[in-house]
Amino acid sequence: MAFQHKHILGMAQMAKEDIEIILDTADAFKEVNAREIKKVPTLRHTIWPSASGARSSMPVTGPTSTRARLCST
Amino acid sequence: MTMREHKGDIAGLVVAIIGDISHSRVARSNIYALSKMGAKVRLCGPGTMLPVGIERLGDVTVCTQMNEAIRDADVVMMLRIQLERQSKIMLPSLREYARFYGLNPVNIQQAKPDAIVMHPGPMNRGVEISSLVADGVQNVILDQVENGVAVRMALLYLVSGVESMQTQ
Repeated sequence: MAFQHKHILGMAQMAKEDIEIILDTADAFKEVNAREIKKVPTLRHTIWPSASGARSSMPVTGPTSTRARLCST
Repeated sequence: MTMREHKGDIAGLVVAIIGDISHSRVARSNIYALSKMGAKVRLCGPGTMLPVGIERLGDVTVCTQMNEAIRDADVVMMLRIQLERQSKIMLPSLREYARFYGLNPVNIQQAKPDAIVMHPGPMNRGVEISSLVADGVQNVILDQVENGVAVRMALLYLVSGVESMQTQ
């Protein structure tokens, strides 16, 4: 079974199977935390990119986007 | 995740959640999730911090005495008292809170000998949890912190819609 939710608004809407998928995925991510770059490729640049990282992702975000401005300092 | 690592299966566990239930998303999320996974939840806290009807959220027993909640529990989860916010109006004194709702080396003995102690952090040492328990052999609090990061990664990853994590 695959994870069907597009949004995560709380545990009330989750089924037991969803929680199991989350926990199994988290088990796999635990090892990522021990890596030197603590993000898998999919999640790089998603949260608080470093200043240089933000600059290199500008083609994606656009130079005037709020996120780019927040992160470029 | 921490419970699963230490206890194997979540189904059948008795989980005591103690403290400020009414201001706690930790408590509510755990009530929903643990009930769905087949665990029994016991709640305990001062009357001002126990919302009416909370037992309807899942497989929940509300206890008035902390010993009653902890007895034979597999997991004891302490919640943070928000000193900077409501504690001044909702609690007569912190010393009294620590006495009735604080986890210490004496009352932890009511739980199963292999029970684990959890806390979502940051801890108020000497209030809801004594340092002897917070640093004791049963504490899994730092595992909980580390696993919390892994769970957040997993959630972001899953909502991003990628099929599997095998290639990463």
